[in-house]
Amino acid sequence: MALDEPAGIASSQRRIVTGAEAMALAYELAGVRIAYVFPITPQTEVLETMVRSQRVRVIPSDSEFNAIASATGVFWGGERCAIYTSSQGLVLMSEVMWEVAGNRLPMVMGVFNRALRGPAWTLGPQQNDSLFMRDTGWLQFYGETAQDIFDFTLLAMRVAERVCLPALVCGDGFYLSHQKEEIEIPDEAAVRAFVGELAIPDLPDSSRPATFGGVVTTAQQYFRLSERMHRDVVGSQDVFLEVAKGFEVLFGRRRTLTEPYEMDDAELVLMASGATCGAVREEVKRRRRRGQKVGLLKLCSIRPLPVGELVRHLRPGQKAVVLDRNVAAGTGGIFHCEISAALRGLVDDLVLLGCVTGLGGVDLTPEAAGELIDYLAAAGPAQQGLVHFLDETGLHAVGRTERCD
Amino acid sequence: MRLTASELGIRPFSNDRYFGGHGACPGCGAVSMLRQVMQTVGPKAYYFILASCAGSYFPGEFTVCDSSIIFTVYAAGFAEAEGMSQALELRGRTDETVVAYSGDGGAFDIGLGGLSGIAERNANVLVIVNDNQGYQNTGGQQSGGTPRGIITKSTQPFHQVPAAARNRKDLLELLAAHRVPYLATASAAFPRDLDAKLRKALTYKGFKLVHVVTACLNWGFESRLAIRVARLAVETGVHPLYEIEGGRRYRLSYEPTFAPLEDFTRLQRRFQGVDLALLKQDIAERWEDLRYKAARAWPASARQSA
Ligand SMILES: Cc1ncc(C[n+]2csc(CCOP(=O)(O)OP(=O)(O)O)c2C)c(N)n1
Ligand code: SF4
Repeated sequence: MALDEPAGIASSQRRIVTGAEAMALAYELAGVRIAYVFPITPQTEVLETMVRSQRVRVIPSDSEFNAIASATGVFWGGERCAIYTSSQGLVLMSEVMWEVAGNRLPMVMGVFNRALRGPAWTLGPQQNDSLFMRDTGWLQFYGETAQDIFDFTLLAMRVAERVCLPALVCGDGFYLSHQKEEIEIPDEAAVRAFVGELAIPDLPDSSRPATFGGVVTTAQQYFRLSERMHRDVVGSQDVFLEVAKGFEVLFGRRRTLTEPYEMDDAELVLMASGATCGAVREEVKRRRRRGQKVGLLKLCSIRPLPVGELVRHLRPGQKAVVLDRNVAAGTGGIFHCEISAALRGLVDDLVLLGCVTGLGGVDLTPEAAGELIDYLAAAGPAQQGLVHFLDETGLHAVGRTERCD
Repeated sequence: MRLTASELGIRPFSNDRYFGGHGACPGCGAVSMLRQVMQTVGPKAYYFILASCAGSYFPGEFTVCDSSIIFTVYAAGFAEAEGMSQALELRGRTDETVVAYSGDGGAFDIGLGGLSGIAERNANVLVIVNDNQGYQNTGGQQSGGTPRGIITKSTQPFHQVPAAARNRKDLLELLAAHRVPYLATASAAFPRDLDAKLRKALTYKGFKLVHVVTACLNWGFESRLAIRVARLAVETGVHPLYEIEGGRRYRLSYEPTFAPLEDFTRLQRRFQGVDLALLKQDIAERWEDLRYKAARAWPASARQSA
């Protein structure tokens, strides 16, 4: 590991920051000079942190829709732009999200996840805001800690610019945006060296007039452009690993798209993203003390879907459950759906369940994770046909063909 | 290698900045306006084009002008232009102009929030509003810029609000209330006036907007008449030519002959069955308001603050 070669590692300081501060700092140390902002809880913490910066010009926009539109213009003008939002703000941006990805502009946007105004208003964390953007072509990274948020913001910039696609860096609202943790902040010079200058291959230039983003002449052109985006999202798995190598050499931290914890001999596997991993890790630790072979596989991205890493970490004969702090009404948890579709034919003889947790900010406790582990230990292929829900009342399941009454 | 008409030196268009090859309806009134705008603004410009008929004025695959064209989703174009102007300023590229180009639907309706936002922030953007008085790219539906009484493709003759109860939005008044540096109306049929206003607009660093009423074939006139129809819009008083500096100082730039409104409406199918008495009253009141505002003297301090 690069830690063994201290000569290469940039100096850093340890600081106690919130996830929101970590995100603002990452943009600032990367040399981003402009931000378009609009307030929404819990993201407002990032805005208020950045407003204190002398170096970033923070422009208050009139809506999230126009904030991301302006950020797009900043990229067209050859500058990086900081932008971040939550919940309603993100879905208000959705028309422009497709445009940014289709234009292949490497915008990096922070999201502190918050449940949408579906059944009611709430401030609690839930990932349906960012996952609503799943099909746009934006990469999506998910963090568990403030350090994750800091690191992934920098990594996302490099990966986005390499593959010419925008990226979201997401963390659960409040759990991450507002809680303070000690993290490692590298020297500015090293951060600048890592992210480099913004590099976009094809930008408007008045000395070489051209047309951007117009109508295609044939349907086949549109088809090809769409297929190309799909290939580039899939290919970003490898690009991430290359970029992460450079990151490790400079900063001494190894970053991957999945993080195994106690996975080596695990018979039962829990997969989760974001702050959910905290409670699960705690319970896995307790179970290990009792000798139960349980492991956690932390998911750090859904786009790219880290299929390569999943296949390396999962083994035939295991029983696994994907925890989702989100729900696609009528289908179940979104990470679960994605992973079970992707693994079909790649990992045999795997019992793979899905469990929806934490909606609207319902707390997932280690004890609740324990209830799920006990259920998983007793489960078989038949339970794959169910969508599980784990809330304050405990674990219950709904069949996929169940009649409504 | 592909050469443009100007590179080939083909006369009389060798100095044109907007060449042949666009896909607008033959006889479209907006295209001659656009040609004049590009001619005056010059090639060091970026045009952010909101979804509209302009999608066909600038085909996607090749470039029919010597400026850069960036298409945007419908309501996003104003704010995108603002972002680009911010980036250019940060990069010291201050000799380039950022233009946002919108239809009336874009400016009066779906993008009004964005337009208001960049006006409030005094973004260094030139806005051109091509007002053909309806959603024309989608076939001619009612927009906030459609005059009252007209039956468009989306108006139900039997359920519509009575003509007396609905009016076309007054875009310049809306923006004057933002007290922006420069606002003007113009017409493709008055090229010298249009040219002068664009030049004046470009002397301001900050928000400036030129609102042009152009004739669209969906209005139901013979395709050779677009410029005549545009001229009559001015001469009948339907479209006054004026400017507003600092949101306060009004100046009428052309005194029309006040030809009978029927000269204008008779050429177009869309006015069939429309109560012209109401429209005539609108025109008279508007002119009275404009003359009152144009005659008003402002103290020097108000001028300077503009
Ligand atoms: C969000 C959204 N809604 C609807 C459309 C469909 N649409 C494309 S152009 C247009 C009308 C444009 O009208 P206007 O802005 O007045 O410009 P014009 O075509 O008349 O020049 C509409 C409704 C769209 N592109 N985007
Ligand atoms: S529909 Fe009207 S505005 Fe659009 S191209 Fe045709 S004439 Fe011009």
